[in-house]
Amino acid sequence: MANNDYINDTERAIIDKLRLDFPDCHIYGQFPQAVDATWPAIIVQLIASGTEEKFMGNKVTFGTSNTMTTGEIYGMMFKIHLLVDIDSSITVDGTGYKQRRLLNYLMLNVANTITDLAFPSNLEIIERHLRNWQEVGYDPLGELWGATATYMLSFENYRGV
Amino acid sequence: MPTLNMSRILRNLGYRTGQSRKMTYYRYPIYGRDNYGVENDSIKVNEILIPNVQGYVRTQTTKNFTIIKGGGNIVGAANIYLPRLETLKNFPNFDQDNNVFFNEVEGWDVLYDVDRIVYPVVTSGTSDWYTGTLSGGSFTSDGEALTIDLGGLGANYSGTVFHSGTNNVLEANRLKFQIKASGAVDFPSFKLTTSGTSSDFDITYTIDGLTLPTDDYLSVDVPFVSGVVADNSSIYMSGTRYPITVTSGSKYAWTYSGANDYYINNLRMLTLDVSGSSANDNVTLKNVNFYKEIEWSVHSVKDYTDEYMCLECVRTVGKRQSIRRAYG
Repeated sequence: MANNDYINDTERAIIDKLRLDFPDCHIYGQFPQAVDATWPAIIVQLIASGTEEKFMGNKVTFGTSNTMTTGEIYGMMFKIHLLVDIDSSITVDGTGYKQRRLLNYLMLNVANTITDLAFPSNLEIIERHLRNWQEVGYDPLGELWGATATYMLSFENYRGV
Repeated sequence: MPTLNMSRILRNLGYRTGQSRKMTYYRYPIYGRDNYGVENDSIKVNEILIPNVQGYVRTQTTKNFTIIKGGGNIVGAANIYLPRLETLKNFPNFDQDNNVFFNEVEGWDVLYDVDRIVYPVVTSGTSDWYTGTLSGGSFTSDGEALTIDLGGLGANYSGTVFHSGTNNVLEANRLKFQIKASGAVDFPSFKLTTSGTSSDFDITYTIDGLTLPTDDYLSVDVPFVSGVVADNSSIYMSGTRYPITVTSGSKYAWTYSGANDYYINNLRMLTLDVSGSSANDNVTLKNVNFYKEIEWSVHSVKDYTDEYMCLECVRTVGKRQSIRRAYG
């Protein structure tokens, strides 16, 4: 059986692209310890994964190849959290964006990045859906602005011949 | 009239217990807002940064590592007793004639206490002090303070003196010292050089328009952490703020990295830039400490009496130093 690592590869691809597009943000693959957290933060949190669809004979092909091997469609679900503290500032077109304005900017542009994301060629992504930003709001005690969106994607779990 | 002289009690307690301490009072700057109510980057009211506020710290918890591990941000709690508000307002730097922005203690004001001194720069002797560009300068020490005779080069001269060594300051996040002068001595800047000795490794604190006092010591307490280059800092003297602009060299980094040597592990030089106006001018320096802070944040006022204030504070900061050394 091939030693594939599609879940980690997918997660890394998302994190790498976010780091590239948002150099002024801190991108985490899980919630950081509170004392280590640095803002503004984009947290990519894997919340579920599992088989989404199986085919007759449990066989699939990969990409343009006609070789059939064991496999199925595998799904993953992420929550993408945006967190902006009271002092976070990113310069956009010469203006320092902070707080609600920065969160608004990040919601649209992180969504654009996720939507346009090109995954590496060892992954065959079948389907992906980024849902709307939810729980957009402000926590007065932590002085944090935040929003969360759910990102679902499925890939071909090609398990070798 | 109050029946309890809280200031005197704090002073007397200071001789007997470490819990009566001199702390630095801090209030964050207030930023302007755009037409839609969102803060922008321009400072509307400057920070308040006042060293040497005497208070009594009655600690409930100094550090709770379980809370940190669980993701919580509050890692300690204490009741801090300060003199009554009228007394506080009569402290030189809370001077209401000059410092109109302080009227009372507010929520989320901060008191910086010393967790531990990471590196004390020697002033009890003259070793490791050099005259730099102030070629005629010389040093003497009375065992506590270091006096720098500026060299008697005549009117309107300036130059630098520096302390040199290789000393660990990685765990420090603030620098404090006390300084005064004899004569009209300006103090335009000081800088720290870590890792290397070239200007690439400098972090420079440029002070706007400060002439050193000749009677009492001026207490300076500035942050020495990542972010200070963008945020800058302040010196308050008699309630008047002297802005500090902080700049850093091209190789200055706040992270520890043994691989490329760009780390703040070692203090190589502490350089003072001074300019005098007559032959006999000198500068006296003492209590130069790189220290690790405890940041007490005011969450509520428990007592607000004619005699004293009791503030309920929590500690909200603290990377684990072992992790900082490991990961940067």
